[in-house]
Amino acid sequence: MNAHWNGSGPNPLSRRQLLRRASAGFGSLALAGLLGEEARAEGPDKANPLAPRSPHFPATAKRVIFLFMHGGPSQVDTFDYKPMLQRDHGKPLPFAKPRVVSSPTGNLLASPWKFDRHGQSGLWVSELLPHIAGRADDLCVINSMHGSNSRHGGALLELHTGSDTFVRPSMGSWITYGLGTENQDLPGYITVCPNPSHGGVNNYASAFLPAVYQGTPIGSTGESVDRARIPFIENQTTPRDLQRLQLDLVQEMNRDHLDRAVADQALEGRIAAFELAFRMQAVAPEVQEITGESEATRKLYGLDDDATRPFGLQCLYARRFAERGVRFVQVSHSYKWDQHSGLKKDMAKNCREIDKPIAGLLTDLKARGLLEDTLVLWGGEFGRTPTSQGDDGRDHSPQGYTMWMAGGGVKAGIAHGKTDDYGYYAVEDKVHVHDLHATILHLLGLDHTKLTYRHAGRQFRLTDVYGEVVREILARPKV
Amino acid sequence: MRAKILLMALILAFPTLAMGRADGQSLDHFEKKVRPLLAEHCLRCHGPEKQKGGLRLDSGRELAKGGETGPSLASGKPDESLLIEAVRYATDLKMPPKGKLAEAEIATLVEWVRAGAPWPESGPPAAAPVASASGPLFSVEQKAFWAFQPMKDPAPPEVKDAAWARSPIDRFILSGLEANQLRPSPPSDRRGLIRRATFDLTGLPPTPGEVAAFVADESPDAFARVIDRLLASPRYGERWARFWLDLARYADSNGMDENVAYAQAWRYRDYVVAAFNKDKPYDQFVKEQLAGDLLPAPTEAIGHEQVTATGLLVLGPKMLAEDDPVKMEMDIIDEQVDTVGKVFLGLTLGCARCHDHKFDPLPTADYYSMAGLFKSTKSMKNYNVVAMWNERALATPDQQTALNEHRKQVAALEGQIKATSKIARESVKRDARSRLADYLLATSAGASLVSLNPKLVQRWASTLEKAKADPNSIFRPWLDPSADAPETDPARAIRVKVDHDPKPNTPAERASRYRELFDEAEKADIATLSADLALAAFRQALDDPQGPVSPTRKVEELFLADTQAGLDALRQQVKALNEKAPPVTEAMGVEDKKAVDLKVHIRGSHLTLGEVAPRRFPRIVAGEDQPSLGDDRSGRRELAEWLTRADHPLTARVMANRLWLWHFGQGIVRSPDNFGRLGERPTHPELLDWLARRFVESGWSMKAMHRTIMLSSTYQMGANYDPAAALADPDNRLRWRFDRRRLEAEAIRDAMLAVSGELDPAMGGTRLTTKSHDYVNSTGSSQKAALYEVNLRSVYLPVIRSGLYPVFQAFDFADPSTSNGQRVPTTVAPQALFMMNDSLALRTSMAWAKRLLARADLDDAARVTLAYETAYGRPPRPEETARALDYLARFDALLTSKGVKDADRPVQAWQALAQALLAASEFLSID
Repeated sequence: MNAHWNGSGPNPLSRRQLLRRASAGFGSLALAGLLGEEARAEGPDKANPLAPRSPHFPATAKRVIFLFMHGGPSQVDTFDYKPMLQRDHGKPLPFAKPRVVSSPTGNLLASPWKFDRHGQSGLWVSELLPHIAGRADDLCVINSMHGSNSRHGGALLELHTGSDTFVRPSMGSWITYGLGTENQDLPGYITVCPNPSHGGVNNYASAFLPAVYQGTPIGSTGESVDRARIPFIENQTTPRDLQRLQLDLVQEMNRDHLDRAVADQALEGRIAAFELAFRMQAVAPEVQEITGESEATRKLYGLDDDATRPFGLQCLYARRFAERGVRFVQVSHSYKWDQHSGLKKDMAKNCREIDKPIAGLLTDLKARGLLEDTLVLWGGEFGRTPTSQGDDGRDHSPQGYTMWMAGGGVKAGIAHGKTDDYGYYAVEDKVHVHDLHATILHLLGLDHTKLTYRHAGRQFRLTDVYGEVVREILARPKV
Repeated sequence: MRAKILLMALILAFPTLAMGRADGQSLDHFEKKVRPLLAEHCLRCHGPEKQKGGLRLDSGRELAKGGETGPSLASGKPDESLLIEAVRYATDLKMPPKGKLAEAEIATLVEWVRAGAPWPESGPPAAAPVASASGPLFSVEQKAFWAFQPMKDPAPPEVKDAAWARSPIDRFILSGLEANQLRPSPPSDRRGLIRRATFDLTGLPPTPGEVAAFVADESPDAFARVIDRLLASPRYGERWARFWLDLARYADSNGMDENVAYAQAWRYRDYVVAAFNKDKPYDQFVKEQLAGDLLPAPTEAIGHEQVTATGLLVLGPKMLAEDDPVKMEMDIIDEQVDTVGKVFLGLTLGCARCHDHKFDPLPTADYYSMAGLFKSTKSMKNYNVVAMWNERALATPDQQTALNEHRKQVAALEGQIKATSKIARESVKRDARSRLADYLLATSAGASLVSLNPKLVQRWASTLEKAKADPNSIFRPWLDPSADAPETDPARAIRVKVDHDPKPNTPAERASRYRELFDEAEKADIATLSADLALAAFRQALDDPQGPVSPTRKVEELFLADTQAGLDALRQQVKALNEKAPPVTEAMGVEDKKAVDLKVHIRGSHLTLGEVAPRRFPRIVAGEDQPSLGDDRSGRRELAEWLTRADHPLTARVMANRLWLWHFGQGIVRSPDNFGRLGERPTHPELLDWLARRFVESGWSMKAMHRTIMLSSTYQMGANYDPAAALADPDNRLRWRFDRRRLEAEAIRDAMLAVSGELDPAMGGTRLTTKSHDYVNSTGSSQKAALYEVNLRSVYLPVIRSGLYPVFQAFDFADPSTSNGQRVPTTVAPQALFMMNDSLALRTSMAWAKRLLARADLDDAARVTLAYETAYGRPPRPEETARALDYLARFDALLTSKGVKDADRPVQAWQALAQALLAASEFLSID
């Protein structure tokens, strides 16, 4: 090698300097200039936009695991017990249905399942979810959720991005933008087995936020969970030592190119990106390598049963990613919760698939001391009508439905808000999707009115001009 | 009559006049009940601090005046009062939003309104405040904003270094540099220049031969001839169309909620490629995309081309599954207004949907004026769930005649099918209902009744079969006439009802009891049903559309055999007709429909309408005095004519800026889609006007603009770094050097294919096999391979919204969900992973390695030289050759240690070297 290659140009940077300066997380080393208009003083570190950032105020949750039930699970068959519905089965709904509905429905349809009180808290949970019922005292059930859109696509986008009208950054992107991430060898926002329909990528994309903040999909619905991997992470043909040799050549050529042009920050970033990619190739598959998990843990997540194994594996991945500092992990059970018909059979099947894995996840997180600062969120894009569609189905209903949270600084063992006597409309302490978003951000130490990004001439936020923090469910409401 | 009108006018003008007189008793009621209620539930948002929706509820006058949605009260008429409507949660206006008031509280308010809504302080009303709208619409400052001023025709300034300034462009640039004591960077070397120009105009690298020819050509017009050659290549349109397609948010699927195929979108894409290749004048290009269907068409081909161009207005992202069709339509219109505003005017019109634009002089009325143009345009065939967009036949007159004839025949047959089916349906329903008792009887063994519909008998049988498993079925008493009465409701109630005195003793009696009960349930009102569980159960069975009592769904299954046979025959005829339907090409496109003016949607909601906004163009540019667009047209053509006027202050500037941006990576206005107040100011305003003027004068020729720009010294500068200049002007706003740029996603892929010798030059058409309106969600690897593992240029690969080709996504392809004037390049780890591991990198490098090895006339050193010349447009320096050979040797040694056979090692080592050359920064960059 001659002096030229050794970096004796006008602005030399050692390899170590370069890596230090540009060490960045997955998803990117977007460097100076990348953030475009974004110029607020407290904006992300331009050299490493994924570096961890302090929240606006002390947080009670450091990360989020979102268990997404795609299709719209029925609240009146799971967490919203309605004795009047049971009593008045077959009678007409005694008040008006909404102006806009997805399909016409008939009279009241009682839940085919029994409800019981569980735990010290005495929360009502139906017999479909015995394992989750066993964790009742960890749950903060919100019975008064409501949204604006009665179709899957619109409602998914509303839940994930706050807008059912425009393409907007997803909740996970906003959170990663607001807080960065704690493990620079892994993506900050991972979504396991997302569904390509109903908005697809838009549900985890960063829209106008820098691409660094978009969700990294691992697998997708229909693909076997065992094969789900980060895109481009595997190379079947080139062994690692050969690839290292190849990479060394690329890096030498890049430094050479850098020396000739000088002051090319994107190129500095590219050099670091190659090193990161190489590291990530080692780290990421290790996270998904679960042979080290004990027999007891595998059983806890239901990996020993074909019915619970796929979602159990997703939940286990979620814990392993969360444990390693990934900021936002979503796992999707999709798209199975759309019981226009076959309520009895399919609800039972769906609940069986998720019940043990989710209870296992909660138990495991708690045992590892992770539940304290991990916010677990469960729910679908809407709920379902207490009135019947056909004789064994329920239609979509965004008017009133249930989601629950656990850990991360929410009160445990409470039910918040109410629907009417039949579970159709949220009527008391209503929580709109915007309020849910505001509350999630709050738990993470972010003020939803201050987490903004300038785009196309104005400041945008996850909650647009809406949203109020649901203080009643905060364990530390005064923060 | 006249007096009555006057009175009405008075009431409308001074609504408090209509309020009831406040006597002592009602005042008491007000103070004790109503005021506390308002204070508790309303004043936080509608009081002294906040007046959401412009509404205050802390004084009688304010309350009566109302807010943006109009007066809150119709005195004495609670049912017509907005306030009551809102608290009743009867419509979409639901107040308070946090939860409905208790019934008693609502009743209090209703009573109060019925009593005339007495309010203690309501004295004589003051005159209505003078509307602020009666002042001038725009302030002097708003009118003076630079982007709304006429284009000037500035003379290029004098400069000191006149020799450097080859073109007027250079004098504008140099004058800025000289004023800041900066020097332009020395010119690029010839190899760098031809690589830059070739990527710039065609998105591909120059071949080693093209580089050598240019390096050897010493004639003064050598570069001009390179530019002409590149502009004449069809590769030019494939490159430049892509920029426009970013603006047009082009995609082959709707991609918002339900992701269905825009199977005809590619025709618009091919139109754009052809338009660039034939240098279609930009004014014509604009007119065709906005109003091609309304322009005169001298030939049929031109007519089809023009209709295809209007695909721009149709192929945007849309929510196609929305239960509220009015919202769906307005959202689609909004997307059109927003796109047209950004693309052609550089104005964020979309921001004025819910309120006056916060920063630019774009009143919300102007938004709805523009929206009216698209409301009067047919972009959609229907607003069903899942909705269908407009597609237009591109047919010759003969084809059209044949098509019309065909459609007529099909329609006639379908009419017949419909009529037959309707009669049969009604007959089945009538029969089912009127002979209910007979059918029920027929299900019990031994009963044999003639002339019953056997299929309906079957349906009854299966209904009763199901009832056996349901203890609450109304048919339990029929199935088990002698069973004991059950203990729990509703089973108990049903049993009591059926066995009610006198208890039916025979099956016939029992069957007629069922008939009576169904009749009774049918007539019962909701109150009766709520009180009578058993009757409600009968009603539900009656209403079951798939049940046997009054079937309304799947009725055809119950048609009699000969009816069914007749229908089948008719359907067979339709199918046969459709199979030999005249083939007609269809394209996404619009047409005019009934012209309407929209009302302003207060806060963007179609449920709260305000004043009519006549169709017209944004008044800050087009003036406040505009002629009516007329009731016989949408006004799109007039919009296109207005936009392409030679003196339009925005159209030429916006496009000249875009052309500059696509050459330099940054515009003169660095916010290409926003020329408004929050956008950037031009770095060189005179240069922008000079370019825009030349653009118009050249007959809006884009190729002329390329020549003008590329022949300047400014374009031909090197990318060299200058520490002093970097300190003074770190963002290179003054253009002291050419900014190094990373290639776009398409150029990276195309260059990999070109360098490896794999690029397929075939043009046009579509790879998508999905039919229009069919789902394109499947991400199965076989489908992905079929769509993307091809060697066509990237512009021809399908763009699936919310399911982009991962390689595009990794390299910052423009998000097709919104119009995009400038991509933001990122440097992220997945790009490195792609280069290391993706199949495209592996297969192109393998193909390239094989081609290099096949050159038996070359030794390894010469192969390395050829590889460098092909990939980078330059030969390797000696140390680079040495490094490459050393790498091959070391790789070979490692392979040997792994036991790889002699015959396999060279190609593997060369593949690894080729891949490294493609992954390196020099390949991805233009200097």
